[in-house]
Amino acid sequence: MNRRRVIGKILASVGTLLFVVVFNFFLFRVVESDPVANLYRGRNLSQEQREELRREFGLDGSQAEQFARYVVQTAQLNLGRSYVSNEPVASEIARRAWPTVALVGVSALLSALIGILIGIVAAWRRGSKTDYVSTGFTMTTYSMPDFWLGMLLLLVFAVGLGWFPVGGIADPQTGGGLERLIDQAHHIVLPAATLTLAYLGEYALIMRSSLLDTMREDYLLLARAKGLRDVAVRNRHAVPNALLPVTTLLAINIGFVLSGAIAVETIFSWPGLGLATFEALSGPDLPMLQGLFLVFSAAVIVANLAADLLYSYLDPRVRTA
Amino acid sequence: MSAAPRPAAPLLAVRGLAVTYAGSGGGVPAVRGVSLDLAPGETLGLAGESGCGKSTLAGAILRLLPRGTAVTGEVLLDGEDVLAMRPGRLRAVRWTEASIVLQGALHSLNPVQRIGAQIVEAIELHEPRLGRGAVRARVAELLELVGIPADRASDYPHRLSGGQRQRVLIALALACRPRLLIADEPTTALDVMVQAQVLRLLARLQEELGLAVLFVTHDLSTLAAVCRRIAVMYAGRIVEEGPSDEVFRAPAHPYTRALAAAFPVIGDPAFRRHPSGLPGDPPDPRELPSGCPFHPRCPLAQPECPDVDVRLRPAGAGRAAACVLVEPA
Ligand SMILES: Nc1ncnc2c1ncn2[C@@H]1O[C@H](COP(=O)(O)OP(=O)(O)OP(=O)(O)O)[C@@H](O)[C@H]1O
Ligand SMILES: [Mg+2]
Repeated sequence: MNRRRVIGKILASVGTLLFVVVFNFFLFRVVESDPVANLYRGRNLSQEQREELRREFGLDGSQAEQFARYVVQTAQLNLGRSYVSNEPVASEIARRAWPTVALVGVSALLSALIGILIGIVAAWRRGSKTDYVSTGFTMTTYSMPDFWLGMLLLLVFAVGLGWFPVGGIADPQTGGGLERLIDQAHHIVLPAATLTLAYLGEYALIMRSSLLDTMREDYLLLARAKGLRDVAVRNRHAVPNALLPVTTLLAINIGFVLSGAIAVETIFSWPGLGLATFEALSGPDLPMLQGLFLVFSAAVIVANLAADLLYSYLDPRVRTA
Repeated sequence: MSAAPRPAAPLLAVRGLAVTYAGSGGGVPAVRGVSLDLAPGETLGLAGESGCGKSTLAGAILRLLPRGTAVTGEVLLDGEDVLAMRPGRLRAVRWTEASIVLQGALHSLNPVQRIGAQIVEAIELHEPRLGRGAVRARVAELLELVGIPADRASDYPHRLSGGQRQRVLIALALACRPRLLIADEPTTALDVMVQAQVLRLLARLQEELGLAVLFVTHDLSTLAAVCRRIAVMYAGRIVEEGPSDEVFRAPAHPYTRALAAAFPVIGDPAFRRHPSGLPGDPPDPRELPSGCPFHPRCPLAQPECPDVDVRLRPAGAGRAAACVLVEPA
């Protein structure tokens, strides 16, 4: 792909991001016209206190002034202060991003890896018992909502068998260092297993059908005619071609990493951005929600751009077109 | 079949080959008892309408047909039966003894690998002890041989024109210096000028390298120009065989006559389906007419044709045809 098209794609992504910023502002103005009145309902506030609070939350001045201030502040990564904790939203989000990145990152990689392997085996042994069993399994997990899977695992392995903790990221009583790391690993198993199971079906089904399409290609027959073993035909010629659409899917899914685990984080009280969203919704903590939505959308936009660029890097037909 | 003395023991000898594809409503008998010989350095053309079993025969020689296909008979390559080989031996024979340019060659190259790498893969597979430099030199030599600059080795297939891709496939087929080249319609998808170039290339290579070539096409006039002998197929059997100029000039079988009389309209899909100008379609292998399968379309059909399962019979020096009208000489 030539430089001009790359730059074009980047500019288009930046444009989308700007649109989201603007949209975000108006969306939350529509939702809530006077948050101060709402938040301090029932409390006796003097007119001065009211004005003071408004200024603090950036709600004074005309709509245009508010918008201008919002844009400038957003550009400086200043997303306002949380109504609930009164902390800057940006630092709150940064703090709670790590548990999510760890949880969903691990699950995304595992689900892609396992799903792709299942898809390869199922397609290569198409119509065999292995194919039926694995495709049935992936169909089942794919069609189950993640919160349902999560509650199932929670009930069986945490409540019932007691093998894993019911929630949280670490036991407050454990010490530091390695001990703490092991404790966190213990805590992450069930939520990560839930997300992995929930996501891998998509990869398995897409990899299977992509590989089945590829297996009809003439170049595989030629590879076999050359004298290659079947395994080499599969690994060197069929899989790399079949992986192209799956790679794109993976890159796009990474974009949902930050926002993708609201239900599962809530079920397992995993203190990440998903749980933060749940908490902010019940406030409602509007600046926090606004900040979260902005970060979630930005992640999706960036991941889409990455998927686009990655695909054109991997497929020579697109690269030079 | 033919009385003429062969110049050498055959490199390829097909004996009573029958191929039945697994179909949903029963088997599809695509090839029904074919025998042919090809001596080292010789060229044999295989002609016939679409669906008569040419590609099936070509694929059976290297056992490239889909799993579940029933193949019986013998395919002797240098005296060794390919159909009875163990998998390891079969893989060793593929590309070193015989290689193939597949039909639909425009899709036969892996789109995400450089063409050089695809040639290298074959060489390294069969000659693992060859050094890197020697492999690279062989690739350059092969590309030059088919008239493609060696520096195109680092190109991806989509950067090449149809004719260039066809040349690359020929270079690839020659990578391990086979003695037999099977070329399944190597010119069909190309425009006329390029067709002529590729044909000249094949003729030159055949002569220079002493290759035996099994050349498959539905276009009889092409064969006559390239091959010393031709075999004409109909409904899974060879219905006429002999020296190409004689068969083309004086066909013994009414089907060959129709093929030879037809004027090729290159690139016209209707011509591909009815190259002979004959009425009707070639028969579906699952519902073959009784007796001579050609009789419903034959302008010279006799009363006994629906009942006689006519086999190849001598029709002059080095010739044979499967028709009741052919009088043994
Ligand atoms: N995989 C398959 N399964 C079932 N039937 C098949 C299969 N491949 C080919 N056939 C049938 O076998 C017959 C012979 O096919 P083949 O490809 O050998 O013909 P061909 O002479 O090469 O024709 P063309 O000129 O179109 O290439 C056809 O009737 C075709 O429909
Ligand atoms: Mg064919």
